[in-house]
Amino acid sequence: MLNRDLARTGQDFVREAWYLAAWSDELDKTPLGVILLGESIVLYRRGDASPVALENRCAHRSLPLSLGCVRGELIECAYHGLQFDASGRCVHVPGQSRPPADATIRSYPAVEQDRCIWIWMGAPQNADTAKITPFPWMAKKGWRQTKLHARIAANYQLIIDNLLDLSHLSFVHSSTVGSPELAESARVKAEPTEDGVIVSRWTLDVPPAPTYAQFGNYYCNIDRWQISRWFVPSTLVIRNGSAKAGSGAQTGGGEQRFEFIVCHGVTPESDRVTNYFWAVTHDFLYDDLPAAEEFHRQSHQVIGEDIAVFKAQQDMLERQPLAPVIDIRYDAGPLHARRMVDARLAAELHSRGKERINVPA
Amino acid sequence: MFLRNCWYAAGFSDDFGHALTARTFLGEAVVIYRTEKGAPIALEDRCAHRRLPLSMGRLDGDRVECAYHGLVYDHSGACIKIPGQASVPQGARVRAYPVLDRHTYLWIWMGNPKLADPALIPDYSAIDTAGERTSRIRLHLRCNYLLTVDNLLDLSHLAYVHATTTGSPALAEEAVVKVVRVGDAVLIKRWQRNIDPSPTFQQFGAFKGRVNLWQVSEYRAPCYIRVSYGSCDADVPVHEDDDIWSHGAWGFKVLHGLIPETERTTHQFRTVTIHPSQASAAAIAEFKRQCDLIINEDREVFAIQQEALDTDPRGLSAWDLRSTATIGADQGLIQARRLLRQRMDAETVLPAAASA
Repeated sequence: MLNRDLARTGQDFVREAWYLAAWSDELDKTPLGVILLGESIVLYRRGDASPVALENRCAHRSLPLSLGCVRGELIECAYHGLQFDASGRCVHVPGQSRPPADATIRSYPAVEQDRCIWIWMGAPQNADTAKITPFPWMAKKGWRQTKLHARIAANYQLIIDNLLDLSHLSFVHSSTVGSPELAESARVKAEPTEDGVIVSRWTLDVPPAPTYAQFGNYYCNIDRWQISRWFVPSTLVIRNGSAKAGSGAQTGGGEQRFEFIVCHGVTPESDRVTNYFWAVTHDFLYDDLPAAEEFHRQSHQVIGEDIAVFKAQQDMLERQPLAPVIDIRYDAGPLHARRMVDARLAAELHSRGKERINVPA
Repeated sequence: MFLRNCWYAAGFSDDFGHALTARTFLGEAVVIYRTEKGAPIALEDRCAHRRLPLSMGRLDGDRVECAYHGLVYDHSGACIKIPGQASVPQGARVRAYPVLDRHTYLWIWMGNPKLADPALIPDYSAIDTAGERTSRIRLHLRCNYLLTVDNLLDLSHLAYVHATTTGSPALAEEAVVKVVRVGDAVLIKRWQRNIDPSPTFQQFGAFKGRVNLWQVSEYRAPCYIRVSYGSCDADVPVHEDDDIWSHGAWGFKVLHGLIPETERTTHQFRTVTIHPSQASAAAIAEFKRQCDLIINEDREVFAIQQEALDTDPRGLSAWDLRSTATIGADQGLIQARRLLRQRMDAETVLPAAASA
């Protein structure tokens, strides 16, 4: 039976996974403290600029290492100057010839890819970089990006629900990317994949929503697609686009094509706080900076409207967590994702045997 | 824990129009609006689908459209449309609360709707005839509503909290107090004879010298409170069986609309009817200023009391106040609490209340 507390209060997280921990440009030469799945982690760059992720706690007196500084390959605690290497081993204690044998903190596999810093939260031996969700448009020649990192007081699954049911554009974003037909007459299909779900929405021969009319230069009806691909547990790629109605968009062609791709990292900090990484990428308007900036402004308006929804939902769910909810036709995709997370959690619990998992407070 | 099968003042009638207004009552999120014809509607303020507050949505005629996925609800709380879907699943509805306009207030019934009898709305008709001679205020109180009830039933506090206006030491020191139970009401009557008038009475009563003052607080569960103040020159005889609701030479009535927001916060909607002797606009304005000063003095006391309860290591609530220390003046409070407790106990055993 599906857990009906939509805010998943007290629920643990899938740990055998890569999570988006920071945008590359958020991590410079100083250590950065982040919290993922309730665990406090310090990120820093070593000499060759590759990222290191360690438990954010000196093995000596528990000061966060994010208060310290980087010394070449090492991070130095701000309190008594203990130095740790990228594996988490303490290699130097000032005034002492040798560090104690057990002076080690946890090290997390960390990788920089597509202008994102990714951290593997599970057992290090399972950290396969091939499993990182590719966001190639983040660093692609001829493509522009606009992005955001927002810390949101809401459970991450509320955000995933939103991204797998884009009928909400008709109501939440009616002044930009939404039009009534997206909710009323879309053909929606939810297809499970090995590592997630793909929700495809096609809305055919409809007037363009304001943003589409403006940047697609349409004076005609359009065929519009919204293809949300979710990767368990918390990344998504959404392709949004349109072409002249009846010009063959559904078979990959189409006249006057207009498309943008949105990359999402929905990283839980706790069961009620999420760090949301969102980037809109596009190759149209590459040479028209003022138009691109206006498109970015509208995109940020959209995400701001969503964030207001997440907070209000979380607040309502915390007030009355057990009040009943109904599901609608468009929930097939979101519900599949929730079931898949529940199944992964159950499998991880099982593989850990009777070991008690840490539920963040 | 609150009494549910009763009317509470949700606000003044004119606080609500043809727009969605979010409120929290008894810990529950409620959205209130008026239909195009002006009839008040109160619904549970959360979409049955993904729990977004309906108050974030919009009115389409007399129907509410959710701001997230566009589900539409009618004024009975039934979901009547889901975009992109031919039928609406059974049970797709939100709760509707009975609401009624009366005596310038909007009253809401938070319990079993079948028991919502308009005859149970308290008699605040004094406001209806007062017309322009009223002073109103809306307050958000950082306290459990019982602290406000206590305050209004023990007016000895005027001597200390409101010493610059309606209070003087004699109100606490020299009062004769009688507590009477009349039907489902508790009356707390107070007389002070041959005392110096407090500043407000001196200012508006135009007394020559010493005065007789009287006050009555009437309580009905859960928090219907009417208070009346009267006064006359000290040489005019006052008997304790006289009509204590009369104003004598000068006085005023206060009618309180209270509704718990949470266990620790309360909405208060207060109306004061102004004595006809106050004719000039300047005098009325000055009296209103003093009324608002007084109630804000109380408001500060409430917040400090609640804070003290919340931080008490014993984990106290407003219900525990009676057990910590009772003084003589508390007799009325104790009877009022007993009345309320009886009503609440009766409600918890009624299956009708539980199924609401």
